[in-house]
Amino acid sequence: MTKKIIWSSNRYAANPTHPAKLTFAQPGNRLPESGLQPALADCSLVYTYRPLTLMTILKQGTLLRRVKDITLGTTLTIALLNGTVMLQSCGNNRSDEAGGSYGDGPAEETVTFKKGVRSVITETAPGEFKITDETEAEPSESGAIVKYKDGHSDTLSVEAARKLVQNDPSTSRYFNDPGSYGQHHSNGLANALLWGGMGYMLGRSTAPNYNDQRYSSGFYTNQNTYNRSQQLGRTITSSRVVTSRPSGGRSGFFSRGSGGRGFSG
Amino acid sequence: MISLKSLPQSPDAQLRQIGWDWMLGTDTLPYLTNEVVQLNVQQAMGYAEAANRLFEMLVEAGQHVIDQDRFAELGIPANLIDIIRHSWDDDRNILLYGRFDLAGGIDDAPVKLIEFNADTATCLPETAVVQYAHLKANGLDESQQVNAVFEALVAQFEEIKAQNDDLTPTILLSAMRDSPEDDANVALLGEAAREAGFEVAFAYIDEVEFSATEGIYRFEDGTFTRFDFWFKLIPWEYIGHDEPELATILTQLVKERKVVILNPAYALLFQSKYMLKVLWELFPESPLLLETTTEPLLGKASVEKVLFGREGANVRILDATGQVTQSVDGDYGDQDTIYQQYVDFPQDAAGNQYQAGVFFAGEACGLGFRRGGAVIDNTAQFVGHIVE
Repeated sequence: MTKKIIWSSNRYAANPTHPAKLTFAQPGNRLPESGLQPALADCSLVYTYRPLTLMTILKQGTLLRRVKDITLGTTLTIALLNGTVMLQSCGNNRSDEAGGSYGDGPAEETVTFKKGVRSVITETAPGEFKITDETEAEPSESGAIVKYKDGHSDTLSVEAARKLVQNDPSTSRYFNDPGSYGQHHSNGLANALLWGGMGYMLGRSTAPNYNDQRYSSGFYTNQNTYNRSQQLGRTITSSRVVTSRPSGGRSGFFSRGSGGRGFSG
Repeated sequence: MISLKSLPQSPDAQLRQIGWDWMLGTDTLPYLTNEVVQLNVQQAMGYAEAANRLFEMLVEAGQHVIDQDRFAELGIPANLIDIIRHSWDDDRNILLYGRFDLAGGIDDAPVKLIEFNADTATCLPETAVVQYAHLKANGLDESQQVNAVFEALVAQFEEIKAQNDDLTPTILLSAMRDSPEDDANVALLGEAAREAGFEVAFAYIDEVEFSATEGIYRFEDGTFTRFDFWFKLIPWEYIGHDEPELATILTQLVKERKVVILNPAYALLFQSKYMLKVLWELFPESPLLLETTTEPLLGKASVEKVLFGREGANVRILDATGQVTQSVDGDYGDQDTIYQQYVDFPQDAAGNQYQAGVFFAGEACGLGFRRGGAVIDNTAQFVGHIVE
């Protein structure tokens, strides 16, 4: 059988009006060094592509093949059914980078975030904690507000939350011995921090896996809040910045120069 | 015969405005022409359908090469085989785009594959934007063009994002320094990625920080920012031959899923012109193919090409007796060669020859022409089209 997902399913079938626009009108954080960019950013031309009658005819010819591909491609089908919501993020404001950091693996590289989260965690039964609200926040405003059953409340900074999850016996396993973590899973505060939106700032793995989603959704009192936390997770992870040189990193490939060499075939 | 329609109003002003001055040409021949190729719907669709069918054939041929372990014949550097196999077997590695170069398709001449630029195809701005701007500058309707290149690229990036949703949608795009044409191609791809929801940044290849254990980073203002996707307008075979250490790092990163690279390493299989021979072996009955062998064709004019030549370099045309009738120099002379049956390109009334370029991004999505002599090289002009 041939490779089937080299070409992708096509969006025109699902969205026949596909209002794609090629616009160069938004100045952004791009290509500052090329000299091309200021010109691009200044351009007031907006090219608007409309679905073409001709292209519609064309695409009908390939529709059968695409439907077949979708049926065969399990991962593709799952992706289509689930859909994913991505948020643009990553403002350029360097002063926003005051957020938490964590050591990551043997290189001990420092990771900071330009976006953070503020969680409200409520003790719903003695020793059991749930996330009752969660919003995006600037890194310096990030943290958790913990409301205890006896009526008092605490505010945990990102740093305090990190110390707690790294030292609490119920969560430290996750960082030190991921394989044995499962049996230590509990409904305690440290777990609520790890599996809620805060976890993204505390070094929780961002690779989706079934247990993670189960643990995570179990800590939210409300499905909408949980869904929102998924988007928050994307925002936070994509805003991270590494400040130390990556382990064994090197650059300067192709620096001997091949100037002016183009590659059109 | 190619028929041309004059579009006297050049899109120069628009191009200058967006910084694509290089297209206006510093040589004696302006790169952009003031006319476009006139096609009917049937001809336009013929090119697109040919590209769609050819891609299916290429995928089968790619699987054949993998299964039969024919990398050496294709001229694939040995240090890239591992990453090629891995990228092929992991379906999340989607080919972002490529460009088919085609002959025929006009009058009764059947469409024939000249080659597929799978790895680092350029001419994106011309095809996606310039010929469109050319129509608009002359008050014409953009629906008269087979041109959904930008939309298809956006859709392809969206699909890549969805297929790889365990990764963060951040993409770094890299080209070699000092090649403004490449910059423009990369800028266009960056715009498509941005529209698909990626965070986008650019860095020349010599500035990019590679860590075999951690990933690909851009260094700026004292910080290293990691990117989960990397587009490189740098040929894979250059990486294999010129920067073997980089090949090793990339192999490790891709296998450990620290990065997704576009185009995937398997694009090099399609890029090798030896693939034209493999296609001919597998589909000798296909009307889309020209006979291709490793020896000069007896009794037929043929074109000798090196396996990884670009822009018409190191191409020689042989007549039916094997005598060289035309020869183009280049930097790739030490490579193995294949011989492809010679075919005339369609010509206009003035005797110029035209090669059709069909972009493929998930499917055929746009058409443009290069105009030149029998060998289409980097002096060939770009000519847009109109469907009437």
